[in-house]
Amino acid sequence: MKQLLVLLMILSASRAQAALKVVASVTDLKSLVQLVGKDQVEVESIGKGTQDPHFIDAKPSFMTRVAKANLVVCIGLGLEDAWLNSVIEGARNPDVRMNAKGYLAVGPKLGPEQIPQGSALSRSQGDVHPEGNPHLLLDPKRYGEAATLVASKLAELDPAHAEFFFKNADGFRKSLEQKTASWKARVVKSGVKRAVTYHRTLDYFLKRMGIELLTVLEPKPGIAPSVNHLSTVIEKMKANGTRLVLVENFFNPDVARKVKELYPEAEVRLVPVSVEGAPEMPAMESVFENLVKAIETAGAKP
Amino acid sequence: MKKRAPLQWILAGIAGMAAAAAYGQTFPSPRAMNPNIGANFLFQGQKTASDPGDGFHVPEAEFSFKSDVDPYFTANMIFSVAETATGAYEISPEEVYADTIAIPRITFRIGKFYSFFGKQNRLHTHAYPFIDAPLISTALFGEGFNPSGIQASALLPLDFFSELTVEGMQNFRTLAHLRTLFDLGDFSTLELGASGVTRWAYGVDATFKFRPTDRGQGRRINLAGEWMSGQLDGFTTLPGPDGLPTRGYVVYGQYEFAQQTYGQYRFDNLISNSQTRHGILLGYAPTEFSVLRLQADRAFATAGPVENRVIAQLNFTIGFHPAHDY
Repeated sequence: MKQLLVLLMILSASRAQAALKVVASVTDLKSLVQLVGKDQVEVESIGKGTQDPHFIDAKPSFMTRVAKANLVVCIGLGLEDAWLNSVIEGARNPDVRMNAKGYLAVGPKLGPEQIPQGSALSRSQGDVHPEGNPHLLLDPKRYGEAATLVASKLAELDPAHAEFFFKNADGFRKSLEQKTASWKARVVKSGVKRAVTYHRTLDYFLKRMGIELLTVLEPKPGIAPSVNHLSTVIEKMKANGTRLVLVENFFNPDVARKVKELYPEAEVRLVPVSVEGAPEMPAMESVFENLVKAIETAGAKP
Repeated sequence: MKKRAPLQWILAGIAGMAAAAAYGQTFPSPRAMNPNIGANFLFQGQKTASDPGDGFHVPEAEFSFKSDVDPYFTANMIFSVAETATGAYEISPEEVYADTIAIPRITFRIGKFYSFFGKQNRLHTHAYPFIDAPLISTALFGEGFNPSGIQASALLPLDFFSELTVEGMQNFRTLAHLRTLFDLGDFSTLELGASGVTRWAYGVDATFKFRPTDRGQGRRINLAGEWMSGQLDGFTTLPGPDGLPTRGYVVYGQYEFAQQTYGQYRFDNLISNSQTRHGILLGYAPTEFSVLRLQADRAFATAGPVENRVIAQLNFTIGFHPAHDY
């Protein structure tokens, strides 16, 4: 009997020490879980950094990964609605179903903005998100806060390493805060005051950097812009001297070329907006750094 | 039970609200517990040499309700209002079922649902790869093989996706289905399936998909084929001649040649009844909620003339629209 108890204890101890298996919906979250969990987690992402997170195929191969996962981390706010639920359902793993212990949606807890008000909300406005703009991980401050959310969840699932997770999250958040201050200083120095993006992907980032988002290239969320619409946007840009256009690199690069053709003075930059959105973007800091550089180079020109 | 005066109800309600407010609670919208509701309809125009069904039609409208029932079950109900041959409309439960959600590894499905036989049979009309079903599917299963029954499905403990399904259905028919999917690198998958059902039909299917996840790596491609044979009492609409089983296959390909725009080709061969058909389709989806498709086909039968047909279809979806299976 005693031997059996010892064996059970060894077994349960080894189980507790095994790394938590985490599946993240997108690479930004994969990177975050990796930073917080380090060697105590095994994490992979369903989406790739080069994919538009609204449209990812619910490949059945992901079901086999989610079936073995202890935790699914996503942004929520409707961003992954089209594909994540069917992956989770197909995985047949009750531990990670929506609102179960092994499910974390960080978006709703990070103060989403642009929540449509009133009852006039309809799909005639395009692919609007009733719960707010879901691209909030592109705000360096919120990304740091998301690290704490991830740490809390990992600590809940693996209390033995709670201190380790919170220490990692705190360290990361503080280092990101310092870098954010320096990024903001560089953006201010660049003299760029306004910018245009393709989709409302960079709102949170630009706001944090003190740049006004003049407008976006797409006429409505999820609707590709016509040449006519681009001309209207360009008129608006010319009217107040806005030249910087940031085009998220998972959108059609033809649109970026068209803008440059219609407005040769525009500073059009095709930018990755996710971890692994380009080969040299292993973590979110490199994504932010690259965005700041894009703004700096646009501002440097006379 | 003694009837309570309305004023008392109102006062009790106000007291409850005040108590909740004191604790900082907010009242969720009563709609939060409503099921997700979706509706969809098809509008079609058809032209053939002589078919009485030529002209404009709304062949089908569909309503769906989906929600968790409680901590143990989730339910899905899909009703179809379909035009019959006489032009009248009939409502029928296309699928009404509950799935277990609290049991790990195995999902039990209870109700009336499309049997997991091959690929085509599991699709709703608006999700068909072409406007109409393949010849072999219609011949073998009629409008679709969806008897009432119980299903158990599980992922096999393998490194690749491998799903085994068994069903016990009305008239004590049983079905087994194996679906596997292999990743061929980052962008491509190969899916292989085999299905068998007692009294009786069996079939195999294969689907190749190329889905580039990076810009500049080409456009989406689908190649698929399905072969089946059988004689299902109560479902088979076109038995083979001389009491032989219905037998045939369909192959098709899809290529997305511009954003939201795709071209398709299909070849149907109903071997047992010596019928073949070639079809091409052009599709344009401005959003995931509206799709325009134009299909032209040419059918050959040993007994009878060559038949040409052109169909245009508009497909509209409002409300909740769950993801289609991969």
